[in-house]
Amino acid sequence: MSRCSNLNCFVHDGEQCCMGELDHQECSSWGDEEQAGRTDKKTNEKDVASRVSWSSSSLGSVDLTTIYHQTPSILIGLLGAHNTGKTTFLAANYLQLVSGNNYSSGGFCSSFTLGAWESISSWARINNEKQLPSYPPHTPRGAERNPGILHMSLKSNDDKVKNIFLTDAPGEWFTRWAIDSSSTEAEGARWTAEHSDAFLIFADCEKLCGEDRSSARRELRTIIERLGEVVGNKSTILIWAKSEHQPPEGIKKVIQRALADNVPHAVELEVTVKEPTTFMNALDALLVAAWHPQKCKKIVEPVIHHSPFYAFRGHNENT
Amino acid sequence: MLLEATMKTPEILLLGGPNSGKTHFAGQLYGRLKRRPEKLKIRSGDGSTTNLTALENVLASLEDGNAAAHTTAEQYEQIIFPLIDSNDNKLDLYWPDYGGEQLKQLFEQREVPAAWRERLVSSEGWMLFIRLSSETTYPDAIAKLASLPEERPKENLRLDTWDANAYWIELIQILCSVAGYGITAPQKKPPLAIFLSCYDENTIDGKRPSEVLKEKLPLFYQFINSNWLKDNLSIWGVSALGKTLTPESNDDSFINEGPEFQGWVVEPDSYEQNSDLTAPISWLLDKTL
Repeated sequence: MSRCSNLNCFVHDGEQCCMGELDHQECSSWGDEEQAGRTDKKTNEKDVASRVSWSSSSLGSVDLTTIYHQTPSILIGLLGAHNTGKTTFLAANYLQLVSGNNYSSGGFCSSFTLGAWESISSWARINNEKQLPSYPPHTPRGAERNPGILHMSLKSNDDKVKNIFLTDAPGEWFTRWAIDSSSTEAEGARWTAEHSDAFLIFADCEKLCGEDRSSARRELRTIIERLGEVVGNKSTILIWAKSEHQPPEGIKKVIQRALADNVPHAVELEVTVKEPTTFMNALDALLVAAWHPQKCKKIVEPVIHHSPFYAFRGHNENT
Repeated sequence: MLLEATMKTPEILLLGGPNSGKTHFAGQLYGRLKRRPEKLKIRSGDGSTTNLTALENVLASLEDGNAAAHTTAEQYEQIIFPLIDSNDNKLDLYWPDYGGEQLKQLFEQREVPAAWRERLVSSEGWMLFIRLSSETTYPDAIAKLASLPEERPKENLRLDTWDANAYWIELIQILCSVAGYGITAPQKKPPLAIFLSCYDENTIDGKRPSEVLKEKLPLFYQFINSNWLKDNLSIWGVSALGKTLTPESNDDSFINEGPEFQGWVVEPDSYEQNSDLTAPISWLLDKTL
């Protein structure tokens, strides 16, 4: 019996042609020759080696769109100027995981970007005798439209799996974005701000107490102000990175005031390489806050007129 | 009559890299089944003739107190053990014998050849050989960064070999994904027995095999526990020879007592050495029957 060569078409079982031909014999997929071709294809398929859908490098926005919706996911945007410790934060979290520590929300259960995790954290490991461990090198600044994204899945005690995505973007993007959010160089930063479900803002304590503290303060404050425009009620943590350094009280107060004005729900936490668990605790705090998605805001009908008569909403109201 | 009709031929997939002790274990397993059977023994007298020459050679080297030759990289053979257990259940165990480089290639090329995919899909139990003493792990130096001069590296002299945690996780992710089990769903996955091979090389005083694995590869341990059902996972310490042999060691205890009196396993919940090398295989077979 003749069959259709289109795998999604069941016209030979008495159904309609899936390409919409009224006479299915006119469809190009129909026919005996095609059937022969199809069996050939099948045998070929059997001999072909299988590949997997991920490359283990960091993900791009196309990968993200395919994975993000398969399982409940949290995309975390890491914001901060150049050299504020964003990549070190990621590396430290991975190294904590590798040494067997876990987040309170769930245990590690998979990752599609192990290659990327390994490459950023290899700097902070005792890897060989020729080179001392160091901070990860500067994330290269490209003209890409979206940041490299690192992934891990966590499984909670009740066996719910959640994808955690973390952005690894060059700091220059955010400095640019803070000054002019529509600039072309800020495209990646804009993408991060728009799509993230939760945010980490990095404050560089070392720079905030050094000679460049005024420009560091300006950069950080403009980033906070810019984030305030888009953050809504998304969970946010201000990370005082390199907290072994103590910025002057005045500068700290200015930053805290900017935070209270623009992202009032944000919390502050300190991280330092002197205590590697601080990195994990900081991300853990954000995961706890963002684990269950924020509820929508209640729809409140506006009071247009203070008279019960006007409370009536007929269906012709707008005509 | 019924027994004949329901005879099982469980297919077990053996996963292990080069030098992880697969061949020695197979040779010793054969010696045990033949000369010193416990729960399982070789079935004979029902016409099931099999070619076990490959393992005879391994066993012969061991009887001389020497290590057996390395299995070549391209080789992939199925050896059939006709077995009978203590309840008179007959079964044919398909034991694969291959060069461990194949598994490494699979990881490096991120590609699973069609023949391997077939095996992954059809096998009813997986055995994973990990020789902990030859796994590469890097110590974490984050806490040291504070005291080191802050210098950004100019050129990359880092070794690009992955940490063993990441290596094994990625490999299992690839295998599960190609076999169609998914990575994070534990329900449909085949039972997994992890053999910590050459177990005599580890410091194991007062530790269960799972604790030894957790100490050396914590993230991999977490990964396995997240993605396998508790009942379907067991971690064994296996020392097929009980000591290290070289191709010219001419070891006296192997020559005098015979290889069938050498080697031991440590059961998942135990600290004790048990001379029944077939115990982990029995566990896996019980799961597939």
